[in-house]
Amino acid sequence: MVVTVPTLRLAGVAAALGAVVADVRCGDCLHTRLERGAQVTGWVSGKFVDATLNGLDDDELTFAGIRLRGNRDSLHRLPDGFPKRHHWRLTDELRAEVAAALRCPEAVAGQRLSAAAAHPVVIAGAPSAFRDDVDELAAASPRLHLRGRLHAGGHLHDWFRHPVLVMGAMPHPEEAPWAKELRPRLVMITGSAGWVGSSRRNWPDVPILVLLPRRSPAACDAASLIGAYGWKPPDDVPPELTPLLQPATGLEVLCVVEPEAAAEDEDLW
Amino acid sequence: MVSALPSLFATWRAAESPAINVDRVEWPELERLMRVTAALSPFAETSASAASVIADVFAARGVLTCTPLPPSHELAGLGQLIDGMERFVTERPDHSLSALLTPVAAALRDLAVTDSPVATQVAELLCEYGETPQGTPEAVLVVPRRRWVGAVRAWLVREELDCVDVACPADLRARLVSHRAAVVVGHPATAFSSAFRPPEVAIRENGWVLTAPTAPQVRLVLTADAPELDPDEAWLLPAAAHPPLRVYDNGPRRSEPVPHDWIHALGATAPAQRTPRPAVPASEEQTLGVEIHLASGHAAFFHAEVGPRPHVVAVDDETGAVALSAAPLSTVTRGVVLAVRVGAAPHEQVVSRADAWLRCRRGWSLQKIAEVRGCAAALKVALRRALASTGHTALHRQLTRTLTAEYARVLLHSPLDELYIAPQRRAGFDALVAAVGARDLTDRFDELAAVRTAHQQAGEEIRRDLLALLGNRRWVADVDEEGWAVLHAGELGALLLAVVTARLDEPVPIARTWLGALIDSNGRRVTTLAAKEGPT
Repeated sequence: MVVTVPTLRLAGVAAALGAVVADVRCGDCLHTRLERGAQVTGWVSGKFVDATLNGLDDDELTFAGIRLRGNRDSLHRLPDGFPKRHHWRLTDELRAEVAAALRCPEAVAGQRLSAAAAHPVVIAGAPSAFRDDVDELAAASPRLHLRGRLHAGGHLHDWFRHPVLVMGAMPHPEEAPWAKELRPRLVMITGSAGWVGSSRRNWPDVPILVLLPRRSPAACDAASLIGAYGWKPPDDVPPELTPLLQPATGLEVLCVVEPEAAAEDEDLW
Repeated sequence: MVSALPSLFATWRAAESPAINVDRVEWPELERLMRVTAALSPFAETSASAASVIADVFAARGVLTCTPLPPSHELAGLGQLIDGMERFVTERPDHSLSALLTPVAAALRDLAVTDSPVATQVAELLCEYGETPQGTPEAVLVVPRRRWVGAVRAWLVREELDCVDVACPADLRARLVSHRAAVVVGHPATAFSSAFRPPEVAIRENGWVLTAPTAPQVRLVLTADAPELDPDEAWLLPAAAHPPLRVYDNGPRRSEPVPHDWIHALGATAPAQRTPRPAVPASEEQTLGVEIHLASGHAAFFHAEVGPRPHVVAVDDETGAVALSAAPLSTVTRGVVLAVRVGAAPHEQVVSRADAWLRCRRGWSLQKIAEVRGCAAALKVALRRALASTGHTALHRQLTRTLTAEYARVLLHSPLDELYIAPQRRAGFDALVAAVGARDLTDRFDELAAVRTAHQQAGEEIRRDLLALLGNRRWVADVDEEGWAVLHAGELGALLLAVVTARLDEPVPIARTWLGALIDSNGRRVTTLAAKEGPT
């Protein structure tokens, strides 16, 4: 979906905020398929840890030397080839924000964050502007706990630790081949530079929200390109969504489907 | 620290439903000048003098309709124009143009002594606004071109309109709403157009002064003969995607306004001439190419499906980012900034970097690389043979058993390109090798895909190097003002950034090696480019 906005400021944050509160149900997601010996990630002993799942039965899991009982939605199987990463702790301040945002005790904020980060919002374009906007809104409306709701990682390999991943451009599938086993709740591209630099081949079946600022000539070019590539309206929009996709309140709104590329030329650059 | 949120919210609210009011003014002397100048238009293509007069008249009209400056102001240039025409008529009284220039000179003289009704209207509007409680001006006067801003400021001082901001759109793009009203002078399609930027592009690029305005009230001052303001032209996306935008234009309007295209055509030079093309030698492959003319005086040829794709450059004013991207040929139209590399061997550079990537990242030996590259060549040979022996129709029929008709067509065409490596999808690859009888290639898809990935990585690496070069944006002013700039990129050669001035849609036969290359006006391939020198 292509939406043009008067300014990118607040646009990405508003869209991400809507997406993170939406209910996403895991069906047969790979991350839920826990098996003994698989690499998994979760919150344990006050930090996020990636480790091998040593034991698994109906009652408990053994992971990173700890036996866990109860809710398993905070432990995720990592796809093959997922990069090695260090343990990571939430700061006290962030833990309080996350707990308030997820309405849970601080003691379990890590687990709830891990569960909420199974399907993050993935954003390409102007990461620092996104963080600035979160800070600006959070300062003005502390009760929204935006720093907890929209706490952003900076790479795809920060998956399962943040509700939002924001980067300059979406990498090509060849750079992160394991990412195709994961599924974001929303892919968002903000600005023409993010649009031009991003791959759209990572999750072909996940809708992309493209936000283009109307004041930018480069956005004008990006909009022309979308037209020139022959993108067509989808023919299977659920009727209940149709009224929501109408242009209004100063937003241009265009729902289109990218034609399947017949062939890809060698890039001479 | 002061929060930017109030201004941010004001910016969003201003775009929700801006109040756009058009105030039109009558200027009979200017309209008369347009009418008598129109008589010169049939001669514009054959007479440099006629074309020059018309261009100068429209330049003067631009100043008078897009600023509140008086006709006597030096920026309008009426005095020089009148002198030039009178000299022409005096020196060549029997010239066929003299009879047409005489009424133009008379109309100019009449116009030169009038007061500007645009100025009167602008002053009236500005008087409706004063100071905000914070002591800042409530109104901003939007001047289309930066070089006019100083003169407009001086006019405001003379008129004692001392509580108003003045800015050009480039200054306002990144600015949040902080005024009650933006007073815009001149029709956005023509105010921002130039020889390099046609009106329909200019209004899309600058339509944000209406659709994402810098103030909740937009007051537009137009002359009565200005074309109707069509809000649909100001948006970026197709009409069905536009939200409502109401423009209140109470006239008076002429039934036959000065059309955009006439204004633009008059500013343009003679129709684009084809670049001379040497006959393609029998030893060279021939193809068809669409000729693109650049503001630097060069041409470049592209094919929609074969050979290098055109690369366009754009600057995102909001984020300051520069984008360099491959674009479909259909989007390369007048006004687009094209990037063309000169003095390098782009394909060899990609191959060399791709090979390094395969050695380093995949651990391939040189022998293995050569072997897999041989598979790509073998696929081409097998396809050529199959086309010769089996024929296109039979092969196409065979492929469409498992592929779409369009993909089958592409697969019988694209692999013949020397730059092509392998089909993107395994299904396409399997179907093709089966159809052309290249069974020994059946298991090589993954290796060929690795080579393709290596080429994409190499291309991306080069693109990043060039983007770093473009990042300082010092070239933007050159491209804006002169239409082109040259940057030197070390081993990557020179990079020409040039505005497209014409596109000759009818494809013509050229050597395959000309695709994507820079060609000079004599039909020679350009191999070196010096900064800010003419075509070599």
